[in-house]
Amino acid sequence: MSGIRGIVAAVGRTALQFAADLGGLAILFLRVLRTIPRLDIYELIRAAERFGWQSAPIIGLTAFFTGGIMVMQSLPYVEQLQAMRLLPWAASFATLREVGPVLIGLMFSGRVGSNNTAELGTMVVTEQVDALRLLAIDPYDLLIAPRFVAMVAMMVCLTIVGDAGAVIGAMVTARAMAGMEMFQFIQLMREQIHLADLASGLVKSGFFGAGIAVVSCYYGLATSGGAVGVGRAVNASVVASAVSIVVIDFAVTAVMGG
Amino acid sequence: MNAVIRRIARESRDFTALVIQAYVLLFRLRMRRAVVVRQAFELGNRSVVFIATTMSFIGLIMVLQSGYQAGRLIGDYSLLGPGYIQLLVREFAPTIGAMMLATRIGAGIAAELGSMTVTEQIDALRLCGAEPVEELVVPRLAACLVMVPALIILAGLFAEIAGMFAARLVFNVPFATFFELRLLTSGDVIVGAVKAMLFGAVIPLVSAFAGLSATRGSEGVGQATTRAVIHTSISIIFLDFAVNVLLYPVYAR
Amino acid sequence: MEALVDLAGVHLDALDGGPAVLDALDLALAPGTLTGLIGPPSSGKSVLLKLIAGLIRPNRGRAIVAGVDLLAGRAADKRQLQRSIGMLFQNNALFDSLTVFENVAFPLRRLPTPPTESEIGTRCKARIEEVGLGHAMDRFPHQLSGGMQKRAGIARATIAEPRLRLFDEPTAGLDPVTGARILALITELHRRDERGVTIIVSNEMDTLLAAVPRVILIDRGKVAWDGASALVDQAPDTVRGFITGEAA
Repeated sequence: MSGIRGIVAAVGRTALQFAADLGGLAILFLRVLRTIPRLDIYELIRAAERFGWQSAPIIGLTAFFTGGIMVMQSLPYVEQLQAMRLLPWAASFATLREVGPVLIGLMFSGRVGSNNTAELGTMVVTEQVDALRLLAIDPYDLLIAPRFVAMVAMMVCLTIVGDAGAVIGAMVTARAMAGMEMFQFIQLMREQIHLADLASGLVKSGFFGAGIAVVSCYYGLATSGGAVGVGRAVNASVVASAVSIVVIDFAVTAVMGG
Repeated sequence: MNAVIRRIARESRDFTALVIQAYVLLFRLRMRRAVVVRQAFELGNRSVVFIATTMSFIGLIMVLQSGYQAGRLIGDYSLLGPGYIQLLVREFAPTIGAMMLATRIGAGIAAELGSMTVTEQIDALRLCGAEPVEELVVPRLAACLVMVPALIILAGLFAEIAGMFAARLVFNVPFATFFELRLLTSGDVIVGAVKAMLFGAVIPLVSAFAGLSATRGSEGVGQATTRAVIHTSISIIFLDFAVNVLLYPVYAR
Repeated sequence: MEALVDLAGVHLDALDGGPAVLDALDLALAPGTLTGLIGPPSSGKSVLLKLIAGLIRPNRGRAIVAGVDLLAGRAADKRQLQRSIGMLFQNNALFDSLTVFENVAFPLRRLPTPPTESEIGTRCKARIEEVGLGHAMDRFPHQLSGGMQKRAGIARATIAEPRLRLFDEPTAGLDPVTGARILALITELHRRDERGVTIIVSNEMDTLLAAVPRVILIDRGKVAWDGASALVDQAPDTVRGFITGEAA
């Protein structure tokens, strides 16, 4: 009997924690929105630069391989239907609209999001955030709002970079595995891929950036317990970011109708 | 630049040494069964809800996207189910499932081992007559080699079921089409299985290495967790690409 | 008698390119030595302890502990050596997922021929009682106070009757009474093993000098002074200044 009670208690605890986190995230999001007009521009530029450079190589590499993977997955279908013309479209369409933003989002969250949580967490644990408050500086102006805007902006930029990388990866793979010349690939892509495909992917990335920003800042600010606590916070932040990416993706997809 | 190259070379050498040591110990079955079982249990426990949630949403998204396009281009949804199953088994369940697990399991392993490293518990282990790789890494490797493929199968199931409901509710596609296995070949299953097993090894090894190389200071454990997630994710994507290329003859008819 | 710890010209580079952590350091400790190890912050005391324990490898020099060459020796020999070394770390380094009893029993269970469970139980309980933690045997490290954690760490470090006992700041952060009790315990354990070596790193001069017959001062990676505690007054001014707290 106590086994069942134990399970119910555990589920209850998890549900309460989940609700608390959800509430906390919402509150942070609203505070950030309110603070955006007042944010520190200098911090914004610094953050944007850091986030951009931190993850550009990783994202470029990921995108390159992703493009190649999508070609490999489309190739059997295209070959069977004897419709090689469709290869560029088949490979790039899903990449630009969906797979690209999601994988880039996961990479961004793993790199920038977790670094952000670690940084904020360390500041909290070493009482720097308290020190700011005592100096009558609102941490949100200086720290949170600039990072939020920077992450949204950088996600969009990096997705553009990533899309380029994916196309290159796709081209190289198509050449190597299917003998399709690169200029032919580009030609067919230009005929078949529309701006709307690219744009919808970028819009998604923007939303992902917002989600990653809110989640990583929330867990960073809620850190407690020294170096080990920072590790725990990063852990929680990365996991929650992944969930938020997936949920936001679903919401945006459903609303935009593909 | 020189220093960076030297550091990468040193880390690669250390990581290779760790992998070899771990596998040698694994094949000699040098591990405590109880510890492995407990690890496996914890891994599964920690990840089931996470995988269920994320993969269900992924399934919804994938079917919605494919459905919108199928409706717009060919107006025929009959291939939606079978095609979806094939892609799921061969590509998306192993890869995206592993990426999710890299986040959940990998971050966890790195945080645990990283905390032990910065509090000198790893040094203490050595002086207590234990060998850190044997004590900490091998059990996690063994547990992941079993649990990660299992969780990937689970991931596929959740994505399949969620996709099935999405297709029915949004496009009026009958449930039955999502049980049609006619496009699925043994080649697809082999490729999916190979990927699942590879990823099952990559996640614990890369994450443990990141945790054990954590540096002192408040950021040490956090940075180790970051490294674990990133390096594991990149490895998964790269290995996925490599398997797709190398095993192409296996799954392309 | 051959030295248990034999260091000559030991050199350890700094990881960030700064001044060397250990600079051509010479040290010889014969069996039966009980010595304190003191020095300014970042002088290399803790690093030296870890080097002697085989946890850090020197870049150059000769480092032989209990006959095992730390620079060129085989890994298997080093692992064997580490079984006869017990160390209390600065932050105790207790395994947080294990209870006090399981922490103390850990080294015994990892011996090449482990004793039976009942033997382990008896020995561990006895040592745990001896350090005054009999009532806290089934608690986890995070449930213990700082002093209790230290005592648990000492129990674990000494349970396998190691030849070489290293204590890094065993009394830091403890009240004087508990601190004195711990030093008494350490010296008692040393007394029971005449052929072993005990090294105590500490910054609490008065209590340390009263407890150990010999003291070694490390400064900037080198041995600055090595002599009997009783003769500290005869040390050079700069050295004595550090020890007694007077301005040099």
